[in-house]
Amino acid sequence: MRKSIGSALMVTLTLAWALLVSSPAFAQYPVKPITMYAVFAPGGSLDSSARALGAGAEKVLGQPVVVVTKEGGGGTVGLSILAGDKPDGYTLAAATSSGIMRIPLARKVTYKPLGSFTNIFAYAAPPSCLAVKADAPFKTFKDLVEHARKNPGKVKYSSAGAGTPMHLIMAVIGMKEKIDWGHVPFPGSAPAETAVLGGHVDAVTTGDMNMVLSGQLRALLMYTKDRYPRLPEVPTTLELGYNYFNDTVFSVFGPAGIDPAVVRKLEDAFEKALEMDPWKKLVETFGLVSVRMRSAEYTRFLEEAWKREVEIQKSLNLIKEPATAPR
Amino acid sequence: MDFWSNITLGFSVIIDPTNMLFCFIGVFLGTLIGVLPGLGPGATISLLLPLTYRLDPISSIIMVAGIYYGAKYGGSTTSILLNIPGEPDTVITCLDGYQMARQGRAGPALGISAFGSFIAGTFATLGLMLVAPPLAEFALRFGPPEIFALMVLALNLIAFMSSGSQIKGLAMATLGLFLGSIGLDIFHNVDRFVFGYNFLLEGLGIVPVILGLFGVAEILSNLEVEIKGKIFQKRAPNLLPSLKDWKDSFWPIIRGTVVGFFVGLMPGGGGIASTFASYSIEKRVSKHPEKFGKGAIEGVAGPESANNACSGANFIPLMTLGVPTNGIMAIIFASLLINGLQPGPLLIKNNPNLFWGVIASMYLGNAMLLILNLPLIGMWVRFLTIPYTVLAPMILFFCLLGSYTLKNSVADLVVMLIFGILGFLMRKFRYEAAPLIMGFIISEMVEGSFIRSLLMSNGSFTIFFTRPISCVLMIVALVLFILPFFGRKPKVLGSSDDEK
Amino acid sequence: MRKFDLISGLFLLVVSIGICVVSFQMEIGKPNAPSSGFYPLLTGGVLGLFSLIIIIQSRKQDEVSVRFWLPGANKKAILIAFVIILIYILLLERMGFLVTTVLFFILISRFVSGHSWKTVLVFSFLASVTTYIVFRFILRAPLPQGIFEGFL
Repeated sequence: MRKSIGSALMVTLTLAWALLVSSPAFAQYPVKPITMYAVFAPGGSLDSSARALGAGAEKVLGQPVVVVTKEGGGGTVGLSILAGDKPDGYTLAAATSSGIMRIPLARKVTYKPLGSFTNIFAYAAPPSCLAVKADAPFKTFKDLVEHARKNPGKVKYSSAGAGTPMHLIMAVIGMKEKIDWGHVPFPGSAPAETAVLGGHVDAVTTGDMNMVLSGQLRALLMYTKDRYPRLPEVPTTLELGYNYFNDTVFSVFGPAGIDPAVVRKLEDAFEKALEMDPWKKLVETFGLVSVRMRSAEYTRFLEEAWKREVEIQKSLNLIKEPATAPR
Repeated sequence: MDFWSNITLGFSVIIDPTNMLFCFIGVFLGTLIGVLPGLGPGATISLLLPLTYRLDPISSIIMVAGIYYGAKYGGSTTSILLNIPGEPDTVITCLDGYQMARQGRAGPALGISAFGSFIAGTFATLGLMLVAPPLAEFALRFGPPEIFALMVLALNLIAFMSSGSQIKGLAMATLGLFLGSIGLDIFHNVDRFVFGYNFLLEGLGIVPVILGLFGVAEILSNLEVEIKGKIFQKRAPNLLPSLKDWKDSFWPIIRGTVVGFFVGLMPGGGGIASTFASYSIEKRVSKHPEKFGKGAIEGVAGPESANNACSGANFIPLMTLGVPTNGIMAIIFASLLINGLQPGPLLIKNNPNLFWGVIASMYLGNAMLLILNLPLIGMWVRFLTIPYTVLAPMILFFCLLGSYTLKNSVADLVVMLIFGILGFLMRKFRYEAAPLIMGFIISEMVEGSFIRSLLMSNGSFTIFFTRPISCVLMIVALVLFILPFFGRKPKVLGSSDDEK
Repeated sequence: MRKFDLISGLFLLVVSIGICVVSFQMEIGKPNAPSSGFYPLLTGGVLGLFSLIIIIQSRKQDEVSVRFWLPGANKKAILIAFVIILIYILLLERMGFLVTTVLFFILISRFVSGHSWKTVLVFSFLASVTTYIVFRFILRAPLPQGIFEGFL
């Protein structure tokens, strides 16, 4: 008799405990600090944007958002780590969409780009462009194209790395316009810009707008979807008929399987953070464009972007098949 | 604005008590971080980033600058005392500094290091004030072919910096060059030697490698001998450099300052390149090169000065051109931006307060560091008398902590352990770690500048000789290489009987 | 010493061959248009060259008998230290920083340094807790909580 009451008690207690511990909605999320990986080095626009976003979000969530740098592999190292973390909403990552729909095409990554993550919120679009030295003889994009046509094999442009959208766009343009211009990759945007300032290359294809906004470089062509408000006179790739633009967005991810209630709370927090001062200041300094894509919309965006990117890279003969399966 | 009004402006900014306080906090924190192996100024500064958003820009830049060169001062301390570079830049100081410490001359080593750094830092700041913009422009002219030529020169010098067998030194340098290529090839987006280990994508971490090669290996080596007492037997009566020390160090400090300053100007010109260049130069011009590696004070005075001059010069491209030459400058760049300041040619014009204030703070910072560090020398020397049985676990712990906390990655600990074993074996078989580290660090620049030059020239090798600066450097490298074969003492690829 | 040079030379030779083999599996390209495998292959080749020179030079030297271990070498201490570090690596993220570090100090202080249990325990706890606090609250760089997950 006592044995069965004892066991019943045990079972009940165990069940109750399991329920308590396993149901995240039971505890009012968030009850402890949230860790957000920044997948690029400090000082850059992604890292700084993650900190500004976090600073705003923590006011809404009531718990600190701690940004931890986990850089490497163009963002893939941080994402790999995130893929294996618990989907309890306390570990997130601020990363670029490249880590999902671009890099995995070129090389095998350990996570499933469209399967391993909860795509929570896309918050900014970093503008990128083709730029030349401020005192260069090329005043418009057409000037540069003409020059390249007349001097095949002579025109060189630098970039922060091969396979980035900035590089790929130039490759696409080269193909379409049938011009032979040379790509010189550097380990980062600072050395790439130094190269153009020093006259070692003719142009730089970059995602860092600082020098353009400060006047040291002149933007000839924007890779943004629409005209960039701070440089309204510079044409975009879409306008000029090149069917390619830099669709990279900064966004927050979590491991796959986060409770939808938690996701909603995070979406709200991030959306509100975009209205706050730390964010506004950041947009000013880095020249970012705010974006607001909540989870469902962003997931659709990534699916379409994946398909589009596969096609483009196949047409450029960069890949035969994606190196990583999406799911 | 002329020279004097600039200085006055700068000092008026720095006299402000808040700024002085932040300068002090910066150098103090920096020294602390420098002393702790593994914890680098980069990590700290990025941790302090949120704070910098709330401070006013001048104060925060002053503090960050203080941390930066404070770390260099602190890093030399552990290099000299423990043969563990507190910062990767201070690897070279281990070579002779530690030997001096073992000979009971830790005080003079620390002293000359502090003074040399102070002098170098002051001169560098002077240089910054006088010639910043034109120098920065000159540095811009160093493109890939010039960098490659410099690398050839560097590789040349590596051969001569070994105190033991040169062939072994060269072999280690080559191994280092190879190890640096592990990771992602940025030119072709291909993994190299990664074998599926994700953490290797960014390459081997320099910190775990150094902590393993110098820290863990040192401890394992010391454990071998029954250490119950202290490993530093003699305690020198002098805590400060003697007159002879000053005489010996005079020219090395001057040369080191000049070399460090120029290396620091260039993109990619890091502290370690400057120390390494200075060491090699000192060894080459010395009348008794065989003393290097055994406690020659020139081997400390030169590189230490070079390191500090380099830190000062690192600010130049950032402040005048808006180009950060290394990761920490990039962080400072970001904090300038966040505060609404645009680093670049306009910075001096639009924000003279900031520019000259930061420069003045460098003088102040260097002075503060000297005042801070000199009395500490006594303390550090006493620290060495702690029984090794207590010291060893602490040092080991710092190595573990330093390697792990970089990226919160256990993989880095594994790297540290592997290189610890390697370092231990290297000591047994008489191979030196310094050339390996050198090769490792310049690896990307060697390969990268070579490939980039070829991309620029469409595959033609003549680019290295058609460009004036590059041509000159290549010729110098060639001459330096051939020289020993014709010199008085044909120091040809030495064999093991060069060893003690 | 000369035997050592032979051994180390051979080791380096094997390493260099390994490097070259793996490099060949990548694209090499041409000297004026190098691809991924070019540079590693070059370093492997040069290393191989140097290792051959070391081997050759080792034969030319006299047989001086040098032992690997110094007389009276405390090999046990080295082995134990190695094992303790290994244990630390394995346990750090599973058990958390505090437990693992305390364990580390206990093991090292006791077995390598030979201190008394009392000193060892006091010091271990002090060191671990202080470091944890400094990192977690002052530097805002959390260390693994391990078994204390969620409680700290």
